[in-house]
Amino acid sequence: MKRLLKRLTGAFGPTGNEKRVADVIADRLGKENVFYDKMGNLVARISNEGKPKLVLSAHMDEVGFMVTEITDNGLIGFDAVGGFDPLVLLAKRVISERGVIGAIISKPIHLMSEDEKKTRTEIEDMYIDIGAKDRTDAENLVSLGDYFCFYSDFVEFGDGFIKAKAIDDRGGCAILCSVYDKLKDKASELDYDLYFAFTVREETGKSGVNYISERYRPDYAIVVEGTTANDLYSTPEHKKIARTGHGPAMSFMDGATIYDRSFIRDIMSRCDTLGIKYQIKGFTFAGTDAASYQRGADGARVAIFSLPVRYIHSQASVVKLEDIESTERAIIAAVSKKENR
Amino acid sequence: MINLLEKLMLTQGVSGREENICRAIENEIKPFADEIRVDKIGNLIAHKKGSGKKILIYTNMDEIGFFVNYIEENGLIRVCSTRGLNYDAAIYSEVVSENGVCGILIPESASEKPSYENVFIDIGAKSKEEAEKQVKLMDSFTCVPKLKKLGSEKYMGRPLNNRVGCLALIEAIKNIKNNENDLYFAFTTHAQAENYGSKTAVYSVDPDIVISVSIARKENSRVKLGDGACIKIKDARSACSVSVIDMLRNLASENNIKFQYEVDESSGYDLSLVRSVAHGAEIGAISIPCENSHTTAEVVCMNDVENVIKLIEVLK
Amino acid sequence: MEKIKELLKGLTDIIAVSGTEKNAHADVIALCDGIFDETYTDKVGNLIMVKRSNKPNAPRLMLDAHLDEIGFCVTEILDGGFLRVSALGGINIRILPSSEVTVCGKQKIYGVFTSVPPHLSRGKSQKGVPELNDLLIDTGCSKSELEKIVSVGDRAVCKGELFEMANDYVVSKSLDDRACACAIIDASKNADKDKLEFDLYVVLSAHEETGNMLARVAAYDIDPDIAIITDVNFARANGLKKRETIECEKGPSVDISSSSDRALSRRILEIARLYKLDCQTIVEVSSTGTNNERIMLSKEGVRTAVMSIPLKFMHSYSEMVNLKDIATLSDILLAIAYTPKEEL
Repeated sequence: MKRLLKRLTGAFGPTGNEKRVADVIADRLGKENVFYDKMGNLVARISNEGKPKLVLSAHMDEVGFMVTEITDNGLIGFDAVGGFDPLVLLAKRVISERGVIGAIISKPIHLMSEDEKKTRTEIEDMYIDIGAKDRTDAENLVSLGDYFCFYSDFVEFGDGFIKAKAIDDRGGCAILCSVYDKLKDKASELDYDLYFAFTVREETGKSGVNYISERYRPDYAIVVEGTTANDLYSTPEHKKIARTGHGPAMSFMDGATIYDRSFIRDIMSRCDTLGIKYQIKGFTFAGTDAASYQRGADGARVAIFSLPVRYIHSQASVVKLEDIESTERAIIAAVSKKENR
Repeated sequence: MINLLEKLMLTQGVSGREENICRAIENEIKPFADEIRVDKIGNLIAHKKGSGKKILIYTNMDEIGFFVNYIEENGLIRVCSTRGLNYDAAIYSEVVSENGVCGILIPESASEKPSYENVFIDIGAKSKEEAEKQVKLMDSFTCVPKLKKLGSEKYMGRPLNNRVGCLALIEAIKNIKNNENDLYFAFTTHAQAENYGSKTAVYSVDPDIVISVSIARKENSRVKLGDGACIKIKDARSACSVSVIDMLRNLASENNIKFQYEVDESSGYDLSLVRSVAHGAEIGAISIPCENSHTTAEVVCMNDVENVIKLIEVLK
Repeated sequence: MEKIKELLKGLTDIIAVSGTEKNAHADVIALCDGIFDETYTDKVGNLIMVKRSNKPNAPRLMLDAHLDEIGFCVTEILDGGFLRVSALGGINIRILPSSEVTVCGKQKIYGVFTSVPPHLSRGKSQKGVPELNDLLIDTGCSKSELEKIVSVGDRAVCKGELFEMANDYVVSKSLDDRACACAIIDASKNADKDKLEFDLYVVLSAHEETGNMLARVAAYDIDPDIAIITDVNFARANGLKKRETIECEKGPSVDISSSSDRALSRRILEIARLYKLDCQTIVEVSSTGTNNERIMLSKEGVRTAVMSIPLKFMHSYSEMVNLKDIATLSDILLAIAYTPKEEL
């Protein structure tokens, strides 16, 4: 699992440019077992004719950057694809789809006016410096519209923690690959006709999930996502939305969806019987792909497993390995027949 | 008709928990529909067969409410809420859970910013253990439902939004006989949580015309209680189809049904979702004028409700 | 340029406010005499015009431009022959006082937007910018006469006849998006059926300005192999940022974003280079603000690209474009239609 997670988080795949991630997954699951649809989603199936259809879904894209301007002195103006807090960007290293390395810079603090010092730097005042001499030099290396993403490596640290970029949602992708491997020859032991969907464009809300709903018309969908783990020292107890080390968080409501309660309770009872750790997540404003499954085509009953990730959407997102493992076990429990759990 | 309205209002059904109200409605309309089904996300869809145009008339059956989010060690309950309930109306009022547990909604402390993030429900439990005997995570709560007559024509209470819509559809289903048009009636879910079940209902029925029935908020438009059924011209995100507006006002005039117009500049999301589903449909909306909506003291005029029912009936 | 100007004038004279596009379809078809094999209006008001290639079983290329223009709908008929209206689309309120309008009732009648003296406007208004609620349309008729002709819900639109200016620039109402419709129709007219690699499905779509984007329904029914969405984009002028604008007289742009097909977009730029046609690039990171996102999400997905014509002073009745840019877009669209699908 660690090696797969390292490969997946290292892959280049900002929203709209997910092919390389899809290729890693196809390689792992076996090219003959996967289907690339028209819009870039990857789908695998463990057939179980006659059983209700359930989609396990994780998105392949990560938040990234796109080149919007090349200045006369060779600096690269950019904007974010997906949601970023501008506070996490400055001084970070980035790499482009063609392998060009740079860093995000802005005005040095000693050159700022008093007023400028009081306000935070917005993305429009930041540039990527790739070391180009001037515009022509830069244009040999990057073009308008090129993608960049964080250049950040995979590090194991502390008590079972992992730091990497894009744990949201390569963590989910890694988990689904592993579940597929474990269950692919065990269709008869499952309660569902199982689909594994690795989707595109979740971070901008123009989600590839729509195509999955239309094509497969699932009855159920379980989305495996990353969520903010708020368990830092200073946070009051009831605001610790999802804590690391406590297993996947199951949400019952967020800004876009009310999850299906009886489906959630069924999953919870399966986990309880097997002693699998999970937590119930309180309300957050963010939306997920689950909303698209719930109201896509003729609808589906939805639930979500959220991996608690600290510093999500930054170059140093952090997750606890045991949470990844519990999530995998929880998913297997959710879809397997009673006797086989 | 008032008895039915009261019965509907006393049956709790917060967004995502519509099973009870769904069953209650189904029992009312069963003898009057050719086919009834409940779809994947809980929408109740009834069909009265006909050979003419396919028309889908829908209203949402869910109501505004709260969900148990976290139970403190001292037995107090934190909640999250569906959108829209007016804070000033709800705070300090009596609430009830889907299982009949009584409580009160109180602010965390006088100085906290008024918002649902800083409230508790107190059910009288002295500890987390005691509370857990009566409520569980994800249980729903609402302010207590009530219905009372106000003066000679008006009724006050909650949740008139959108039980009056449900009432209108139920009565229409009962009264319509020998319909020419192919009529579908949907009682949809999740509207108060903005993940509208109506979109899914439209997808599976695939109608030529879609008409939503709900309330017209007096605060958002110039509608008047007592001036009749509202024919919606537009909301903040959609303009209703001109052909449907014309059809509705012609039918109303020909059948002596009192009507007025509704223009809602401040809100509206549902209509924009349903109009471009699959093969597309013409859209329109009929509404019942309502005062103080999203509070505990909503007010409607029964005469308007009757006119809305008549207007739905002539769609046959 | 003369032919393009004539077609453009015909198109901009047409009144088609969001929701009433159907009424204009006959006029549009009349302007396209003899170009298309089939024309029809779909369930929700999109106009679809088809020109088939002579290749059997040709793939489908959908070319979309929205037919609707921003305008108003009547919400109240008042004493003294005044009308209160509500906006359909992103109206720039600052330009309305004293503007001329056409109200489309049982007949078309003329009106003028009133200008309210500051001390008499009701409700809040910030720094002298009026609210639409306070701007009434003065028709000069009596209320009873008016009620015979106009009903609540009727559309109204600002007048703005097309005039030519220097250097092939024109000023007119609704160049958003008739300028692109003009390019598409011109390309269709010039298309040689023997050279067409695709069946051309021209969609003049409804309800784009109000955000309901019914082009999605057309995409669902046509199920094209490739769709090119054309709309207008901000022309570079004083004070506007370089990364948010494109230059006039440098041809149309291909709009690169994470919501359209990157390979297709790059191919279009190559094709333009190959045919020595001016073409620019602009980047719209997450969302293009056009019909693209809805069409792309239709059914099992469509490969899309977005192309724009530079336009000055958007959403007014004095928008400006350069006729040469329309001609260039027409040429590039034709070049795309002549390219085999496998090479796109």
